[in-house]
Amino acid sequence: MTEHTQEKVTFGFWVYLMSDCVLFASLFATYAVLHIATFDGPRAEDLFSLPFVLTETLLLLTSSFTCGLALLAARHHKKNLTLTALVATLLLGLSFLIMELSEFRQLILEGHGPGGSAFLSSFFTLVGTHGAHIALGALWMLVLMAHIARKGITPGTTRKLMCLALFWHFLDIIWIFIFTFVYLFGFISL
Amino acid sequence: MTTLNYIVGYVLSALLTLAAAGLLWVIPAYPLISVAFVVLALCQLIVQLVFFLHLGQGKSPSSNLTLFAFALIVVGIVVGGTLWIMNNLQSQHAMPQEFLNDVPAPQNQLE
Repeated sequence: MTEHTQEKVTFGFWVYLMSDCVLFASLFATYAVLHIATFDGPRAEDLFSLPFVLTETLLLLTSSFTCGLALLAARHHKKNLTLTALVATLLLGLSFLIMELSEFRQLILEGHGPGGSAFLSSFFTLVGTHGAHIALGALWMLVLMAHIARKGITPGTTRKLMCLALFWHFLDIIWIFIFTFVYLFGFISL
Repeated sequence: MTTLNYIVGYVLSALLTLAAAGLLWVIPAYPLISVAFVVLALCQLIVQLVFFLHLGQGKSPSSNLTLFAFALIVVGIVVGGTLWIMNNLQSQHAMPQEFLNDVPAPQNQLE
């Protein structure tokens, strides 16, 4: 794998990330328009809990950090350290996903499912799309861990790990905006 | 790119997140706190782009930066344009409804 190919792969992956960013932008815009359309149902401030969402945020942030450490370990050809950091990333990511799904489950059980109002539809679409990305990222991470366990740290696996790390950091950035514009702004909505 | 790089990014991001959550108790006033939230989110965006995604730090950094700038423009058009148009529609929509509520039986006037 030449240096030049590596550069091209990184650039190509950035193209994908930025197009994904535009997808999320349209979902954010939809949420921004519809978040007041509650159909006399619950508003954001009635549904969300700050300690819960803060825990989610810190879990995802920590997983982003350990993912960076995994890439760093791979750059130094430390196979076991890379795998350990990836396991930590995966566990933190899955805990985040479980928390998100339990939040969804509770909302649906309380009768505030995606069909409740335009606000809830846009909320489930935006946060659910992010959750789907996390789930796919976790699957990708599992496959990559199997690759690294079998083949060791090669230029190929390092390149794949770099793309995964970019993807994972990108999802953390998207979550920061969900945290800010959906949850924090939800708590101050008048 | 070193471990220290990631630790600094992690600590800064965690502090910015906690600061944003802590603001809920500190500034209850509506317009000020929303500005503070947006500023903190943008700070965190920059921190993570620099310390985690290493934007513009590769061998050929300009291509990724150009791409990022282009994405920012598209995001600005999508979000800004949507909010602008939908707010405009909403204010256009609100007027006839109020008008109908104030004036009884407007259908007769049309006939």
